[in-house]
Amino acid sequence: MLLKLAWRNLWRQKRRTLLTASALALALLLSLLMRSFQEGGYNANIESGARLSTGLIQLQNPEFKESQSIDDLLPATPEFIQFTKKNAHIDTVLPRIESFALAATGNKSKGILVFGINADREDRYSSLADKIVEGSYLTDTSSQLEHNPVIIAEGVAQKLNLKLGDELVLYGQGYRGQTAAGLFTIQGILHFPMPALNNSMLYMKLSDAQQFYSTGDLVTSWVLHTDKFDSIEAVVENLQKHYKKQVNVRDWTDLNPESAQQISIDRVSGIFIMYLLYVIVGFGLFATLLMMTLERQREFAVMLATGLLRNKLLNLIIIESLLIAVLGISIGLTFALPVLLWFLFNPITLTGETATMMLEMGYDPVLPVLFSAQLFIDQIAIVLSLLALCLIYPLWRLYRLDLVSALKGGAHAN
Amino acid sequence: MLIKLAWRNLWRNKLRTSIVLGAMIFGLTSVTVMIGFMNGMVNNMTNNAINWQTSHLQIHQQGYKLDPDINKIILDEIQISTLLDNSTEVKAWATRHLAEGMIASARSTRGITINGIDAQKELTVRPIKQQIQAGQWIDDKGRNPIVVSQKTAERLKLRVASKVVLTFSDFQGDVSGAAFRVRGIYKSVSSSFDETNVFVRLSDLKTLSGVKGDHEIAILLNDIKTLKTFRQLLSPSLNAKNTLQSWGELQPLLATMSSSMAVSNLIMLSIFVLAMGFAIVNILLMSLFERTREFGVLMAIGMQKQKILALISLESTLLGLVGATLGLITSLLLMAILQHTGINLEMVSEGLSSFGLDTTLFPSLVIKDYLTIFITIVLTSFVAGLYPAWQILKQKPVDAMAEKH
Repeated sequence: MLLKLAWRNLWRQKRRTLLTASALALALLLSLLMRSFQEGGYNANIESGARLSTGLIQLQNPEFKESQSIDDLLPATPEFIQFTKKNAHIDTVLPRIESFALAATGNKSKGILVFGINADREDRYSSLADKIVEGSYLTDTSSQLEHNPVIIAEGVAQKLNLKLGDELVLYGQGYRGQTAAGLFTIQGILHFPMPALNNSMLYMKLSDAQQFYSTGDLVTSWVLHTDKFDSIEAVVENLQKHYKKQVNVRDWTDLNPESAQQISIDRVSGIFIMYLLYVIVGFGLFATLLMMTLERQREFAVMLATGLLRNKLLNLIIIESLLIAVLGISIGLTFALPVLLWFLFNPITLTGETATMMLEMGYDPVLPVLFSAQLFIDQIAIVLSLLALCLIYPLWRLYRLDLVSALKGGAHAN
Repeated sequence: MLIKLAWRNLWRNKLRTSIVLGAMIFGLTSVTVMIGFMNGMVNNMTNNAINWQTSHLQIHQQGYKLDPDINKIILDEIQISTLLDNSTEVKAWATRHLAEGMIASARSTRGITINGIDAQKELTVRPIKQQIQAGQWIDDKGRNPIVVSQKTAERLKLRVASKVVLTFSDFQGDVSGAAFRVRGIYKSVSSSFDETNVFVRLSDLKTLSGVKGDHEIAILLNDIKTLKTFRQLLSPSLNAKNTLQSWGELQPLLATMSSSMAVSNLIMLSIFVLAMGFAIVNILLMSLFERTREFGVLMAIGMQKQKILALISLESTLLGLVGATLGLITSLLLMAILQHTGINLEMVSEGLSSFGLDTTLFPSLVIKDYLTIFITIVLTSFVAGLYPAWQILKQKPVDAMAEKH
């Protein structure tokens, strides 16, 4: 009964109801789109950043975080890594040597980052072979005839004036103070969009790197990737418990605090903007709800005088407002759903200057969306709490409505 | 007459008018603060880049930035220095001898850029002395002093007076290097700058490299506005093999960022204005429709339609004007406070540092921005009044008068 009454009451002021509902819908639509793009972007950035360099989780020697020294290593034995490999949530396990060396050729030299990798598995993880612009990718099974093949980033090749097949000398510091020095042949050239990587990377086979730095059967890190972002925390805890103090288990926020904080800055400012938007819409909602009650004081007074319980009257108003909110939410979702679904399957690809800027900052110039129930629920919860907040004053006014004066005063009694 | 009428009409329902004014004040204030914050961020990034990395202008040999070969020195350096010394626009300038190499401690090794600098002159173009965290800035005393960043110090486990070895290729391509002693540890606002730069005395580095000449001249002007004219003045008198670049060319990313920031500011403004527009239209609808009968009477006693339209437009515009003015006052106040206190973002300092940002940000807005926001809001209010006005005016006076509310 009340519901029917409320529904009919709403349509007495068709324009107002629709306008209020559409203001809510607009705020919901914009906020939902913004949040979905934001979270989608973060996930993509974390994923691509992880695959390109650090992985989602790394096992390292506890000292390595601070020193990044070739002296602080972990074993590469199957017994050591067995426990990690058994974890069902981990789908990638890669051994790596990461260190520095001075690359020299002719009369030029340059400090570079050396990655000793397991070629096939690394490619399966990071699609490194696709970044080759000249020459060929490393192979684990290459014959002994080829002498120490390496692949280098384009920027390094340019600065050192190197071409395919050229030789370069690497100097560096090896395990426990030994001198690392070796002659390497360039087998391939890679292109990275990020200047930081493009100007510093050199990859060689893990076994070559172990020989070059004289580390024996040791590695600097084990790079892990989980099946879902949600399982990272549990996996880290599980591994840390098993390895205790001999291994430092670091997740991506620890490996890459800058990007973790950038994401949190961006997320907080997005949420902040969203709330501001809702407050502005809230003013409109408040005005509507207030008018809805105030201009009908006489009508309410008549209803009360003829025996309607005050509680029922308050319920009526609450139902009316809820209907507006539901209307707004459904309009918002009707527009948001197809838009989000469309972008889920056809993510926006940026071009031009912005794309270059994003690539250089290490992001893909693609704007994916995250389609998550939680984001929807959040928005709906915000709309409903906004409604509750806006209802307090009108309900209070109605609760205190003085029957006699309202009956006399007509539409605009105060 | 009409203005007075419109003004009085506006205040017939004080509560309702106050609500819409509240929406406008809140909206305008939040938009200005947000845009101010974005501007402040870009300004801060630009200033930090100019202070720490690019200065206003830099001279190199052509192609040095792409391929920092130790033999690519600036030509006719002496003429350039006299020229710079005699230019009134120039506030300060400094020469640098640069080498790409490695820094090694007993603990670890890193690739870095070695900045050979004139200890006194460098301070006039780069505010590094204030950022020394431990030890001191380089001076003439002592053998081979070096100043490293806190980040490098942590990674190499260095303290003041620790020994490090620098290696790089000299002018013949042979590996050259020497032991240096840490004199000071600095920390700039940019983590990427810190990761790659160490400072030694120009004369020390020059002896090791064997290169006769320098690689970089950084110029700071008295007024950044004279950048273009000074550049045109200086450019022709340089050797054709040298190149003169402004900060914008040295950091194209920053220039792109400022322009994309302008677009995102505009998007934000329109979203907020749209949301406010809904509130305004809604309120105007209510306040006008409940007076349909009144307008019918006005029409019936012979008030021209355009006058009624003018009355309604005046009401909505006045509403916009009042709201925007109040909003402007609040936002000016808030901005004044924020410009004094700043916005402290210590919690995410590492993320800011990777952008080259300070931890305390000061929002900044120019008068043009305030004006744009102000005008947009008044305009929105005016436009918002048109729809209800049209709805009322299209009715016949009889029907309008018969309308019950």
